[in-house]
Amino acid sequence: MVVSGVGAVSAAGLGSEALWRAVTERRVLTGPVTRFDLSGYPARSAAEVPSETLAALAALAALVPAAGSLAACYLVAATLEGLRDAGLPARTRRHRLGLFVGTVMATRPGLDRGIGPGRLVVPPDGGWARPDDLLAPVRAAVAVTGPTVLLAPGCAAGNSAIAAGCRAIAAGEVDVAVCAGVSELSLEILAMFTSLRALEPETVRPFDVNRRGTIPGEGAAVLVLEPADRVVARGRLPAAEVLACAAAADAHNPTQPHPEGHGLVTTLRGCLDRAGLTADDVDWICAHGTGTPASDGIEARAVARALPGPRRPVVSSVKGQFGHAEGAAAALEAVIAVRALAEDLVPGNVTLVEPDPDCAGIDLVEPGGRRTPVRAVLSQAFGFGGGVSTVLFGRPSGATTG
Amino acid sequence: MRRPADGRCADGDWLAVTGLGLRLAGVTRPEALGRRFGAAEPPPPVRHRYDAPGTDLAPVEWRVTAPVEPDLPASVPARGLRALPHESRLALAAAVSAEEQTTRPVRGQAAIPAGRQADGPPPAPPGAGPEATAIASGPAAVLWASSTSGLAEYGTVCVEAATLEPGLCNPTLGPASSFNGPAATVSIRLGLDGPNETVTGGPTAGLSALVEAGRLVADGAAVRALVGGSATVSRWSLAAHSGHLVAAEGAGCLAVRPWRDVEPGVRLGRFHRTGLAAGDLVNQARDLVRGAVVPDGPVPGPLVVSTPDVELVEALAKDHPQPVWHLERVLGDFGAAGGLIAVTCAVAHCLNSPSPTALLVLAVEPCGNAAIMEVSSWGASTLSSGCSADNSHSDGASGPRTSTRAVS
Repeated sequence: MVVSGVGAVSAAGLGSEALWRAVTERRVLTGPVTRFDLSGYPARSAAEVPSETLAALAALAALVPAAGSLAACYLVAATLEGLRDAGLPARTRRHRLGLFVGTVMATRPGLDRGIGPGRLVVPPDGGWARPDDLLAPVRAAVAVTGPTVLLAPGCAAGNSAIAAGCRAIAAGEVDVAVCAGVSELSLEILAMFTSLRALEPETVRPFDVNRRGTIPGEGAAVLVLEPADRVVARGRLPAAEVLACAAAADAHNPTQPHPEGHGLVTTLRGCLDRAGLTADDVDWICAHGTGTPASDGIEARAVARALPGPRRPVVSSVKGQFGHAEGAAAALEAVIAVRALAEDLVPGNVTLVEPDPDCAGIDLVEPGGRRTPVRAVLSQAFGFGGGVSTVLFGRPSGATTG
Repeated sequence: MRRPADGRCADGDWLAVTGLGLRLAGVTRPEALGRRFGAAEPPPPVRHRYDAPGTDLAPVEWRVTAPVEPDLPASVPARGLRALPHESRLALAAAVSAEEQTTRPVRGQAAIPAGRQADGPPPAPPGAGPEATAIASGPAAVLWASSTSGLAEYGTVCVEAATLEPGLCNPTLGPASSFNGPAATVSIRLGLDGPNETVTGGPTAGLSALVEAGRLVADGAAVRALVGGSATVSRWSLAAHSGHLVAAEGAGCLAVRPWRDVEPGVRLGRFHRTGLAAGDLVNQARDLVRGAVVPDGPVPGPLVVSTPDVELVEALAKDHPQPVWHLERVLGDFGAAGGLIAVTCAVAHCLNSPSPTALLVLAVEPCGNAAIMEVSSWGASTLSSGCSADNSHSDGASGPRTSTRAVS
């Protein structure tokens, strides 16, 4: 199956074009948090969706239940862009359209807006306790004639949604799968990472010897998936092909990856096996690369172990630019992977200064990126709880190297 | 699994049920669950008081089927259990019960020790107990449905963020404040390294967890799966709860693997997931049920429905020829776990009824998201591991006893 359209809302603003432009311009979009009062917190940075984008999304607020959910707004905007990009109407019931959305916290960030001095003022409508409220706006804007599935497996959520959409298309259950990841910046997340001492105060530096932690981000991204022949029959060109998906679990620890990256190794090999490819056929690994001291080293070793060979793919993480958008991260990275395939550009490790010797087993992309033919991309994600999900994207059949 | 043009359920890859674990109020065994649905009236709920200190949420008294104690089997290593959230312990208890039925050797056969494949991490530690055995060589998936997991922990982090100095929140709470605690706990405690997914939302989530599990084992991503659902009641969850339903606590888990042609036991099969028009829910749900009945197939038995919409169930009951059991009325509201718990009820009914028996399980959300699945027994009223309703091995099964070993 193929990617027929993409959409995004990110720290770069509204739209997948803004996302890709930020990648190519190597902009670092983390900065001081403006939405919450973080005075007193040792680290006060995040990659927020800009205020002008929030203003542009205000028109969607009418679709959102009373207490409002920024995540729900992001999801609607990205979905409508994705369907437009695919040339599909949003409200038709003439095809079977399924909605597959990945999240970490769904609507729960509505609760922590009530954090104030001395006590919690709880928003009265209770929407923060109804995860399905996240999908109400998108269901109002789009005719969902097939299944709606809300996946919350941790930070691999976006890839899990893509995989579920692929399975639904392969099974003939839907004609169109809208696959999304979404996340809203949360004060609870900032408090949690502060207590875990996992926050970087200034700049996320994945795979750098001086990396100190991560910075939260937010946004939404959508891939519209369809059978290739359906897209071609509409006279359109697919943007990319989903060659394989694989999922596994570390089964090790709630917060620490398996020291040997067991789940990641399994999914990387699983994707290649399913696609009938080798490491030589893959040009870029879009890494999870959160910038936390333990995780990046484990990820690097797992990649080196899973993908040996004379021409192994190069590795970079875009979280130095966009922070860790949790539920949206893998989906945002999937959109970037699709653009990388189309543009023959491997994004760089923009914030990398001094590669960590512990990551010496992989070929890290220089900060400026690399202009090179990109035929296949492995996009990997994992998170608390040990769930790992990896997607292998390729050029659509018939596409040639630019 | 393509849906036929006339709207009937699709013929999918059937799943054999090899284990059933329950931790529900007053119900831990399938025969008790079957009796609960056959009763004229559900037992009266109790009222409990819930509060959320450090907030402006006033204490409330609510009709609940809670609390439910995990009652973890003695085989589960105790280390670290107290640190787990209550819902994760309920989930683990139900999963271990389902797993123990699956791994219990059928007479004359030995269970195959679990352990990852060569080049993988080490198997579960010695002494980890019966939960560390597995029937099949290959990855086992865990799929879980919950809308309440982590909610109380999320709320507590928010309270601590408001009342404590920055950075002094309990560091164990944050990672437990998302939805995937039960699935992660089951995977980590049982050493199951296949795909690990959590589905949330409304009651269709539980049926979707089963559908996704079926697809994962059908395409070889896993050789078997533990599929469960759980719910807990707290002052936080009650903030979003419909006042007309009893809030329920508990967990259910099904161990499943691909069904082999003509093998006896309980199986999960044809399903259909769809988006109904919210303004025409009754008519379209009725059509969904009618379309799920196979012409010339077994006469479907009771219809088990999970939905917060009481009027919808009453409308369906008017023209369904068999009893319509409303999960939320009989056992309470489990949120996203509702569809899964409804399927466990159907499995229990099959175990308590002569074979062949067939039921439909329907989950409908007010927004129109809906799913329906057929549950049936074939050849014997037992699980495909050979376990019957009373959790002991059945001697009365017709047809050959099914091996619990993986297909070679």
